[in-house]
Amino acid sequence: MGQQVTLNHYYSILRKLCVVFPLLLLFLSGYSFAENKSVLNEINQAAPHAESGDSHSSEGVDVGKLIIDHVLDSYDWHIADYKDIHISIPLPIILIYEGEFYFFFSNKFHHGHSAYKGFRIASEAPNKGKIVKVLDDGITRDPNASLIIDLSITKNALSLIMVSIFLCFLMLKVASIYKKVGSSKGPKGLAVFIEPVIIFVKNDIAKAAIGEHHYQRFTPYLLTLFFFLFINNILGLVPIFPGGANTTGNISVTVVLSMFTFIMMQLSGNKAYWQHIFNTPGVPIWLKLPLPLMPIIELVGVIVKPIPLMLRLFANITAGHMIILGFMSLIFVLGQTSAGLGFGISILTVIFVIFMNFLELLVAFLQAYIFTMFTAVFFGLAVPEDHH
Amino acid sequence: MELITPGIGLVFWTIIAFSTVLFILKKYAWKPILGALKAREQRIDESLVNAEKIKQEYEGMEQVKEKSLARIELEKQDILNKAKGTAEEIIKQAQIKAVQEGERIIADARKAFEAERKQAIEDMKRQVTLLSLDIAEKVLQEEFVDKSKQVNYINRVLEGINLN
Repeated sequence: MGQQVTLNHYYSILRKLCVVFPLLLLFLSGYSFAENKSVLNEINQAAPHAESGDSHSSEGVDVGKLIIDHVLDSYDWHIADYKDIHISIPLPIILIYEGEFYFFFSNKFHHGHSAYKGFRIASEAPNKGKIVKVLDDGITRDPNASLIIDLSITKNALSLIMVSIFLCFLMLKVASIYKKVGSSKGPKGLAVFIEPVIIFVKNDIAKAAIGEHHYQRFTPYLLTLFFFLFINNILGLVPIFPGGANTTGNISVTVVLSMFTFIMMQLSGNKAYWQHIFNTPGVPIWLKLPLPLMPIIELVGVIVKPIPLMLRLFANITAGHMIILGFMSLIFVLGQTSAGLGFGISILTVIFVIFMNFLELLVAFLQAYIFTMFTAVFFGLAVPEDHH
Repeated sequence: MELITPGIGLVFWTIIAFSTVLFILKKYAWKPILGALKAREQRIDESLVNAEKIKQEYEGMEQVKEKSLARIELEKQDILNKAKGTAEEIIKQAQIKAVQEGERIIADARKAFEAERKQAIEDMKRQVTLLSLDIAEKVLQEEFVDKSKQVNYINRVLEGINLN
């Protein structure tokens, strides 16, 4: 009978998903068009620059630059362009420079075209896209400038904050449902969607990787990590505000998340874990003394662990965005040679981009899962089960 | 290059955002949710165990019931049989008693009758004797009024007596 109840429960979730997915599809196909528009405008902007003397892009479209600009963080939240008008949300710039605190909004920079209070968004390497101190002329970079601590709430930072607020509201709502319903009944309302995921993370990730005895200690962290990553990944696929920020495809974000995992792993490491590193059991003594070969290898292993975690998420999400942008750009690259060709290829491209978006949905889930799974595996290594 | 260079600002905000989310969710969301899930799991487990126990108890009771029913059936049969036997016995006894009583009554009656008869015969005998005596007295009185008759009679008697 219990089996029957869970089955019915999953059927009802499936039915609800069947409603949600087409909506998502619709939303994502909107992505293609919105992305179309903005890409088109940027290409149009880029074209005159190219004509005015950039040697390497004689075609007029620097797709590489465009794509990189799209997957990078930015100081304002670009929504759309219409002819020469840029529609974007100005974001707060917070700088600490030589002990002084600067706070203003990014529209003061006029999309990087002008300087404000001696700061400017650098347009060239090595600090391209970052805020730099400029001389009085407002263009030349100040060669004697000291370090700028840039704590601006950028597009990605704002997106993270919004996701955090959303996640807190969502889960507090779900928690209130559980408090109301108690343990006597099955899930209700929002909890119907969330509960299978929670149970999945709890049983198939935490319990499976860490083991029966210790998993409960780590479950809250793993759940937070999973939902945080998943919502960020999904929101990254949505083209217009509040989505579109490539948060989990940004190395800063993945660095922090993998560091959280790393620090938690070291803090929760028990005696057996440290013994395994410094005095690996079952290894001949000459590998430990006088040259501590094994400890060195083990230590390297410890330090290296979070790096693939960080790179995998960053690379997968960024690559997905790049592929979609690349295919979208194809329309305009070909469209510049012939309008008909551009139109013709757009049909194929849009179909392919829709397919890619579905794939990205899968990747969004998969990468959140993999990150969480590996985190759980690392925790499992830190608290090995006693083998009697 | 910028693609793989972490920026301090975003690192800072990510730490703030993620740790805040972690703190809030851990305290106010995961605790009640996981608690409720665990409580429910336990409840389900307990219910299953209870159901199994109740099933076994029920089966046990069913067996006890059946045994009791069988025993009761036997007892009933026994009691019925006994009752039937007793009833027959009583009837038989009653019949015998009745017959005996009848016989006794008849015997008594016969005895009484016999006694009455004997009494009557005795009475009759006495009466007859008295009557005979009376008659004899009267006859004798009549006979011996006349002296000659007495002498005649004695003579006749004497004649009759043959002295050898």
